[in-house]
Amino acid sequence: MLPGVALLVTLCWLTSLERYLGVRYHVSLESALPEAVADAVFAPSRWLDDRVRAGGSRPLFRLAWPSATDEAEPATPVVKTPQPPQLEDLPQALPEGEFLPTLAQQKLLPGVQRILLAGDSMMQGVAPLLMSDLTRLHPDWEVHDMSRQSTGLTVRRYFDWPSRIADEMDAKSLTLVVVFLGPNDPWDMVVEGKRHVFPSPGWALHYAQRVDEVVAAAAERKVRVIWMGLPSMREGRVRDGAVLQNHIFHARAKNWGTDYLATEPLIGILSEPFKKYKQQEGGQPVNFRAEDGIHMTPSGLRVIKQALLAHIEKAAQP
Amino acid sequence: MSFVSPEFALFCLLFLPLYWALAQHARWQRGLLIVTGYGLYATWVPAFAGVLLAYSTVMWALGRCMSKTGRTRWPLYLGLWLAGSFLLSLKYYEFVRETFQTVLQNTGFYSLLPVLDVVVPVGVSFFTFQAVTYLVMVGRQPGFARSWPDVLLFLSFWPTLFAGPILRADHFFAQLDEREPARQVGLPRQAWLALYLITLGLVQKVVLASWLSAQWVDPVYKFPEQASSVVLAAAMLAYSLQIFLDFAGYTSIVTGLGLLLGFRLPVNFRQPYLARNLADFWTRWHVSLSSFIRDYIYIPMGGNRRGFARTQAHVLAGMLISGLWHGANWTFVLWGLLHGLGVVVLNLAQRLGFPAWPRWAAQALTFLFVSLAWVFFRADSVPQALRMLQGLWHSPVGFWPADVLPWPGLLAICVLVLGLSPWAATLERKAVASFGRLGLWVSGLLLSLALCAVLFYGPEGVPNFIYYRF
Repeated sequence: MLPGVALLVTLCWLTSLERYLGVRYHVSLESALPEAVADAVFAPSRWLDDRVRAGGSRPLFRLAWPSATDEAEPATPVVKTPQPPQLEDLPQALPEGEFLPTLAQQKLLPGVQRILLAGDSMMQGVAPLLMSDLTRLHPDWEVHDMSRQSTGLTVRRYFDWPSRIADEMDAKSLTLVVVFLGPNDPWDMVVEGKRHVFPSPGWALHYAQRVDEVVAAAAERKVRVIWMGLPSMREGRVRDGAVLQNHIFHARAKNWGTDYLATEPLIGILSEPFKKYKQQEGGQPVNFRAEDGIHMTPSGLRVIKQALLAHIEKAAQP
Repeated sequence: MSFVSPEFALFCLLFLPLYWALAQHARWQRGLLIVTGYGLYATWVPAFAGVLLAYSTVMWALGRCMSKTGRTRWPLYLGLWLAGSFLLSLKYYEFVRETFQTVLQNTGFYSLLPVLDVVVPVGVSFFTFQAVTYLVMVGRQPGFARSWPDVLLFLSFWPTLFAGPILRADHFFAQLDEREPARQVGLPRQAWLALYLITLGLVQKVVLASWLSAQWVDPVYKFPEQASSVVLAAAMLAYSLQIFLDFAGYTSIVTGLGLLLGFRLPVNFRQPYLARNLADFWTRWHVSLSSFIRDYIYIPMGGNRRGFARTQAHVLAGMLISGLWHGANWTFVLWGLLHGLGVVVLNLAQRLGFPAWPRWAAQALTFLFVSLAWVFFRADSVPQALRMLQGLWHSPVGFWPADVLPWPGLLAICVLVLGLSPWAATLERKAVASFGRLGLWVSGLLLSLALCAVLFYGPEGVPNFIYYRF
């Protein structure tokens, strides 16, 4: 009986399982099966999706730049059109002890700020602390926390950050978006049916394009962006990802004239060996990292929050 | 690997038929249980499996030493010291180091305690306590020492490895040694009850607890200063329901899995929110932990045999240890202390001859106290917990909520949990009997529908169990 129950439940929820496999293992059952078989197997869950479960695809925000397959995308007007990301070799590793510095290139418009905090579980840690301080310091400001764990820019069909952020910009008339994400992303990307292996120049190009979708949508709406860099990571793949992602975040922020806030000097530098502890001013070691070597302890989150708060306060000054 | 993940469902589909097929070959079957236990454990962090293997081997060696030499004193004390040190150093060292550092900083001194960069193995609190029950069992009866594979199985028994219930060695090995065919482990026992418990646990955890967490508890605990007094009170109620549904759901699932493997697991919940006082609550909530603390800490300290005042001190110490067992944080210390003080006040009232309250009032007061104490259990820090409690009578955003909130869901779950609690055992009996009457196909279809509903109403992704972090 148990296999029968499992088969029935799986067939009814195959689209959900497909999304789960995509996010967790970055594989697609649908792509692996012959088209006719996939259509037949997915038919019951798609029927349920259409008639029982709410949802449906959301319109995506697309840039006017050429994709990796050189197919033209529908044109979208943007206020600024900086140099688009190029297909180029992966960046060289930085010498030990060096990191990509903070970029503070923009000022907030005077008046009340409407801020969106977007990102994955790292932002989930920082957001409550930052919101608490911002609402205390500026009771008239609006701060919205949209952080969501296990999300990133790689698997768009699970959670589409570029379009969600664009929607929020319009719905809430945002003035500032803060983005802090990354550790869920160092996996192969599938773009228009083509797989881009991590790490590769193709992966970097498409990842940069997704960053640009967010920043371009913001530029189009005159919304400021602070993109937060990733701190040191323990595990190899996540660590390699953070190195490449920081290069991309930094390069795109520089290109668009937006901000990049480096967390490496606060928590740990990627070009140095991973350390959970960091010396405080008094010389005492403080644990900044959670057991998984990715997330931060409350002490680490407070340090990041403080830096982000100072950055926003500085940008708000005329 | 979480017990509510698709990977685990697949694992069960592959593992269970193989396990049952080996029912006539006990050695192979237990070997398979050990291998899969270590495999599942390694899915969290592979190195943990090595740590567990070494730990289990040391416990087995000490038991064997007691059995071979007949001397139990020093191997028992050495084992208890090793198990205690292992738990304390991994789980509490950083808490002690940071506390010292904070205290000394204010006096101008520096703490000399070095940094210990280690990762705490999953379920360490659970298998440490299980190891203690094994050592004490062999210490009392050296002839009860078990073979190396048996000790490996006991400490890596995967249904309970990650978050209990805490197994007692004598109870577990008695099941392994059962010779009566109807009670032998290895084949599914009360299969309909097992499937009912697994389905019930999934509904409790994946649907109800997750909904409460996402809609009420997490948003309010994240930003308590933005919640009105009424919303704060509702979030506290929601957390009381969430933690019950989360842990009771987990316990139901593992009890069902245990039955499918042919094992009976200890009862961990007896409708705790029907308790008439705090002492009664602790005979109903996380029973395997509270009975462990009673039998292995409270009674050896002297229990209630050394006068009223000493008894109260033992109660406080037991509750404090219970609190600390849950985590290295001052919030858990205060939570345990609150419960301890509550029991002491109750004992004092009984001694002074205060009359017993009517049943409904006693249940309501106990639930209120437990719910308020949960604030310390859930909060990230003591100041956050105090902010939550302070907000009950003075919130910066007022008394009444300004926004539309999902009240119907909260009230429905509240009525469901509190209203059905007295009838839970009856419902279980009737449901299991109905499954039996309806037959394989209809019951299978009903279970499929229930599982589809769990997936439909559940959150995206795999929800975490609260007790996995202990």
